[in-house]
Amino acid sequence: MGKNFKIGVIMILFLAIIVFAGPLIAPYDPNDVNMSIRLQGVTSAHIMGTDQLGRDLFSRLVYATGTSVKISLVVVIVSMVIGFVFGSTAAFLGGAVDEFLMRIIDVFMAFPTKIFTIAIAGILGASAFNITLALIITSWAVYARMVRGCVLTAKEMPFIDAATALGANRFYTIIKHVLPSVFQPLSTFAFQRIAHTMMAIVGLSFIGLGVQPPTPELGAMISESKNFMSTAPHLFIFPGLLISYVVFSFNILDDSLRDYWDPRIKSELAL
Amino acid sequence: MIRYIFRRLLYLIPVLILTSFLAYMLVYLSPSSPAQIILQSRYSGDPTQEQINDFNQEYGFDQPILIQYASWLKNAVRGDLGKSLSDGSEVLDDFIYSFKASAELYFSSQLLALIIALPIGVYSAFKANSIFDRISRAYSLVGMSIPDFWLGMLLVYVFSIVLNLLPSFGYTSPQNIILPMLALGLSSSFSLIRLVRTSVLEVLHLNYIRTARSKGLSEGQIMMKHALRNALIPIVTVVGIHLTHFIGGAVAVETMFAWPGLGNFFAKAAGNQDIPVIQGFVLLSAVFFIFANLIIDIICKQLDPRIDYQNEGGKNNG
Repeated sequence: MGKNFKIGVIMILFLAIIVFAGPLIAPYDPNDVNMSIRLQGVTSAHIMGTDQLGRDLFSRLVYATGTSVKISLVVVIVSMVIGFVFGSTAAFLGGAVDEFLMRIIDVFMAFPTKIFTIAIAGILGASAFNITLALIITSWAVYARMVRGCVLTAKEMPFIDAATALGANRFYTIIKHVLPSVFQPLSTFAFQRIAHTMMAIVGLSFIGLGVQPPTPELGAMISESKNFMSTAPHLFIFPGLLISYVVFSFNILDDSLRDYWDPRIKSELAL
Repeated sequence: MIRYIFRRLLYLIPVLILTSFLAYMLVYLSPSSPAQIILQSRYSGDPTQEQINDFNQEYGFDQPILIQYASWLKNAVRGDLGKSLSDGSEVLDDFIYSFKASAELYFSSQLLALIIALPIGVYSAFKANSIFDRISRAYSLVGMSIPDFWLGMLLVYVFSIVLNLLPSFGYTSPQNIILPMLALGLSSSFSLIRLVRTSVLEVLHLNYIRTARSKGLSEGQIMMKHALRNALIPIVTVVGIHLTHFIGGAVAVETMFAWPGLGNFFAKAAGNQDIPVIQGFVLLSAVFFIFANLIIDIICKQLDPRIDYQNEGGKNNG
């Protein structure tokens, strides 16, 4: 599987520890305000310094990474499930139902994603829950379209005819033969979308429509640090490095997996 | 070809109707009614029930939703999308103004991305698995992981704060465009390098390249005459798709540099729940997006006669 795969796995494992064991790692409460030590650089007590309210930057970063990554995972998993149900229903039922469901997908895909997400997030009001909801509303259609395509392709495969010829009933064929051939491209695609979703979340939080301060979140932290760029550049540099770390670890793993898996999928997902 | 375009246009009608309906209905996702939101922004306080009723009657919000939608759409077709709640400006004028600002920034940055990515990507593919190729692949993989607005902040830190060479934000002098353009252009160039490399590599493995080689053509001739032309097709498609992304795609960079573009303007309006702006911008950007995609499809069909769009319109395999 190569070196990149190993690097990716190690990076993701390390990330998983930060995300799921955050409270054990962080030395301080991320919302512990102490104005007497505000905007400090690196010290022995605060290994990444403190922010404009004297909060420990390292502890905030640990929690912030957890927030951003968990929202990405929820968005990707829920969109994938909705897309799977919607897309496979369209493909299996076919005919007028398929036509109708496809028009709905077309309408959802007719909006430029960012504008659509911003509109929904703005109308619902900025919060972690609403940004999750907004991203699910704007991203499920891509999965649905993809699942539908995969199911339609799988239905035409010779092994499906073979199963039918051998007397397998429709339900058995679907569960045993059609769905498994959808899972691999779908999970590859979903994996690829994690990095993408993460970028969307930090971007929206950065412009003030996502997670709200004082909840630690990477994009929101960068936004808060804007006024202190000249005096305390570490406040924006560290969260940005962490975002790049997270996205890079998913990107490099995805890259090595694509080289490993079926070249057919590689060309399908090239965009 | 004309029949193809005609059919695509015909198929757009239901999509456009549903899209406009969704654009209008979006505001009903809000927990408060439009009257509450509008009156709150007008009186900066909670309106009384009486005020809400009066308002609903005056602006037709007491009528059935479908009738409200129909009259909104009728005005929209005439170019009247209402006025912004915050400053009373015409929504259409706001859209045109910010559309221009976004287009300026986005086209220049995409041009920069192409200038960077084309030579690096082509050379990388040509010398596949060389040291140059490995470095450029690592470079683009790392670059793709950096958020564009953060790259912009790093540029501001170096060029505005430390070196004091360039303005960090604004839209008044020609120098203002340099940093946001660099941030967006560099960001786009990373993924473009990968795409150019893959497209050229795929073409290099095809039979007619082997034929050209067996005829004794030099590598340079093969690259210029045979490989590049065909590799350009996917690149044109992706650049075209990228160009449509300027609708909102640069929102974080625009906000970072206070660039009065579409994304920046819209994000502010959405944050303030400026209903007419939200409805108008969603509608106009969707219409633009739909037609831009149609044009990209038509260009690709022209470039590559092998593409078969007979089944286009959602009836194909997706």
